Amino acid sequence: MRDEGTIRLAYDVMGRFLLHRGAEPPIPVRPVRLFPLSDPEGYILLLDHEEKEVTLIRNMKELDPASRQALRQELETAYIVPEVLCIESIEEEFGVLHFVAHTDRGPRRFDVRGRGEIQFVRPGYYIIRDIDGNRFDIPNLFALDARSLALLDPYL
Amino acid sequence: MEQAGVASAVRESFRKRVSRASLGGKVARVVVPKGWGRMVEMMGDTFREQMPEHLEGAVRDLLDEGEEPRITLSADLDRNARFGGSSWLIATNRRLLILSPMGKPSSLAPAGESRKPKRRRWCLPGREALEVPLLPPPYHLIHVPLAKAVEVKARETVGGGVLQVGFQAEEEGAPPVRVDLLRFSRTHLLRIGEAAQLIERMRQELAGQEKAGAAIGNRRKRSRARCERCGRVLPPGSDTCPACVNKGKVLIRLLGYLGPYWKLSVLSLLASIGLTALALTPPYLMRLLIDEVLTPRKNAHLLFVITGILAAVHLVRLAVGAGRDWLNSWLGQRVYFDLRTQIYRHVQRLSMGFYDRKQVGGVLSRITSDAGTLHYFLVGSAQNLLIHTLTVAGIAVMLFVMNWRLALIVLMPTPLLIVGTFWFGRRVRVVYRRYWRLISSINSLLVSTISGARVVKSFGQESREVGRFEDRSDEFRNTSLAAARLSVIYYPSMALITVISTILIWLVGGQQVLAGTLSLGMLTAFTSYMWQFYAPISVLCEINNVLQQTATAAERVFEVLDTEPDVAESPNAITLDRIEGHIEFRDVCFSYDEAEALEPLLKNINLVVQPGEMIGLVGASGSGKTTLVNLLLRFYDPTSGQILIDGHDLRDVKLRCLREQMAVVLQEPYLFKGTIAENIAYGRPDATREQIIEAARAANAHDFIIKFPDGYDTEVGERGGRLSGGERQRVSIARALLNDPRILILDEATASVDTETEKQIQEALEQLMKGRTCFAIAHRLSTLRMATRLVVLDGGRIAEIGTHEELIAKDGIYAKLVKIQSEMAKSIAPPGEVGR
Repeated sequence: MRDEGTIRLAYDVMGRFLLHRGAEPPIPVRPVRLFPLSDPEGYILLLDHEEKEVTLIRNMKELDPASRQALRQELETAYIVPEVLCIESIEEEFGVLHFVAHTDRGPRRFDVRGRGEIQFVRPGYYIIRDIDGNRFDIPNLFALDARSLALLDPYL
Repeated sequence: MEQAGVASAVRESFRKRVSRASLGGKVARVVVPKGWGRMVEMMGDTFREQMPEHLEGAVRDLLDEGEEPRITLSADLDRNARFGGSSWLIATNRRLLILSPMGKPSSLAPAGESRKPKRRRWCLPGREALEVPLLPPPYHLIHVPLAKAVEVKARETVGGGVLQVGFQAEEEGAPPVRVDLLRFSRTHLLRIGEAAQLIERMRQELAGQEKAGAAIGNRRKRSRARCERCGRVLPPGSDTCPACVNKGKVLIRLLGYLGPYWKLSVLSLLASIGLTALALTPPYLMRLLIDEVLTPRKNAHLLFVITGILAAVHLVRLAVGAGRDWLNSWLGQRVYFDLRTQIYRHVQRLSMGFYDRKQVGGVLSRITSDAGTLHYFLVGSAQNLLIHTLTVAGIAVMLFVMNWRLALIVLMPTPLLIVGTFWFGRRVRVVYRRYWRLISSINSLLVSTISGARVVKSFGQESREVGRFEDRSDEFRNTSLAAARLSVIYYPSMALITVISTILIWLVGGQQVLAGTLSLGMLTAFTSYMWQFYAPISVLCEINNVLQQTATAAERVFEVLDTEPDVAESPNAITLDRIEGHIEFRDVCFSYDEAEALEPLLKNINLVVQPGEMIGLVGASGSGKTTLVNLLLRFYDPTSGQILIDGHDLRDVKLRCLREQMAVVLQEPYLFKGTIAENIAYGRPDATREQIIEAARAANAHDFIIKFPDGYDTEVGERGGRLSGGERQRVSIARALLNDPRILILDEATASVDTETEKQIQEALEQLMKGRTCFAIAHRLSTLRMATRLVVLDGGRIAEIGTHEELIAKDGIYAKLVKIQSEMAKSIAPPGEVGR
């Protein structure tokens, strides 16, 4: 059964992300993307404090605008996966790559332990993992500007 | 709203902002007072980060009388999980303060747009953009009185973590109201995770609760990510910083491997020098021949002398060259053998912690690839370096002595050759890396689809697999063509440069010959030397790379050779001739790695086991059962606490004596390539045939072994692949039996076999357990019916302990598990067959 039309998602005053369903008391939930790479806006599972499945949102668009907004905000804070918009420089030193990049979450400098950490997901989609395990996504390589592309190309 | 009391306190704080004006306060040094507890002092500056002056002043103004900051840490995300100015976590003896810059909320574009990367034609001008210190924006402040919290913890999220504080819910039995206070990327995960554990201890202290949780700050060293000296990121799979490697020192240590063969090494070197000198002779003889015999058409006798010498020179070169090559091969194989054996012998000595930190591939590459690089250097590159340098220097001298003007023409293209070689080297390396990656990707695709041919065919996916192969092959073809394009540009260009130089030599030299200032013989000799001069130049250009690779490989090898086992034997370690089997775990905490800083795997384990007892370890996957027995086997040492065996700390008992008297039977037993008899006698190679047969009989293995045509001499194949799971298991039990262990560890020994085989194995195990202290891990509780006591682990702690009856009566986790399994058994077994 689809829940999207009957549920509401919102933050309370304490900043908790709550699921409101009909007359039931609201419960704090945690969203989990089932297809974070291929469908980040669909198939989002909501888990309760015991990590039990509460409901599955198949399509975020079917939520009311306020719930959608809240869910997006919660996902954005729960999934700290910056998207690389532009690469300022890549310096290679002894096989280690020093990146200076602009991401959708702001500018970031990070170090990557060699080419092996740049993972091919599908044509055009790459994931870079830095030395601390932070993930940086390039969902569409060809949308990068020419300079960024030229800087990155030797390492792909 | 529920939790009104707590909510109002937090809500009030939530809204409070530290205004821009209040941030310009005076500097106040944040000092951790003495006596607050060993933890913070032990961690030194780890939890005391220097705040910017304006914030430090503001924080000081916020503190009440007698309130002291104890932890001051920055985090790299703001409230909206965006990079920007640092957020700050300040823990005082009373409160938690979180300061976050009031950045703009994240722009949440509609679905379509949010995933669309923005195309930019420009980037920020230079990296300075990232280094501009941010002006102090207004900060958002959250303050939480520790006394009102019921828990403080850090939780890992995707790509980062969050510091959470829990408050008591108003409804009876309801979970705590958890509020996210601070977000951070993975860069800060461990540090803030440990800080959260410290804050939780402070909170428990304030609340007068008994402190729980693992010790902090006594962690084993993990694989380092950065060089401790220069802060550079270490290359993949290595703890060696190439920038800090003292190349000279490392290379001298490396040359030490030639020590035992120094006479032969010197002989090989002398042969190489001789060969270089001989290579310079033929052009000189040609000059004599042309100038003294052919041009003047006289001195006919010299024709025979010179050609005779030429023939002799070539013969000697061939003979010395062959001798030198054989000598080098012999030396190389000896050194390679010594190196590989030394590394392998040392790696065998190292503890399990080493194997956890280094991936299998990394260890293999030390033994094969790195040792190979060193071998190649010692017998190849090092000599080549010397020979080529001597050749270039020798020819340069010869050229200048013969004719300095022409020598200058020969030297002219040298800078171009050097620049060209570097240019080509840089580009071709990039292309070849891609080339090898694609080859490996095609190979792995082939392995997976050909091994899985049955699945591919049964799902009718042949054409899709062909398509995938074509895509990769196409990419491979393009990369190969790119490499070919580079070669097509480079080699002819370099040839052109040298050809131009040759033509110039003939032109200028020809004029000198016509003018009578240069002999024809000299000109011919000159061009010969010229060709010999250009060849080593490109090799010498690569020498820095070779030295760099060698020094790094050497350092990696030496790093392994210099690593001492984590599980070190104390110098006064004792030998226990016969272990009685009394075991005690005293407040044992353990985590494999710092990555588990947020949640150690084993927490405060206390357990006393009497000799001959059988302890059944029960718990969900990941609850710490296998880790507990790994500590008992001393594959690792506890992070804190101690394990005593017959009253002696495990660390004070000789490892060999300990492991000789312990045996492990695993769910997936590991058999080595060899015969069944060899595998049974693995722990006791001196066992007689009678003993081997006896052990096999006791393990219910004899009956199936005799059915093989080769009986006990049957080859088990790689990892015992020619035997079934149950057969492998019984061979491994026979192996354990033959070892006559005093302590026995059964780790899911019957989990992967059918019911009939399980019965046979169970009988074998009962035989094995007689009179020994035994730890048995099993998910199938029926296999623990012999256990004297059961220990239920939950989340790394001992949750329940007692006999089956006691635990059933307790009606806790164990009783629940038994109930579930009984119900499952009822659903599949005929009535009357369901037992405990």
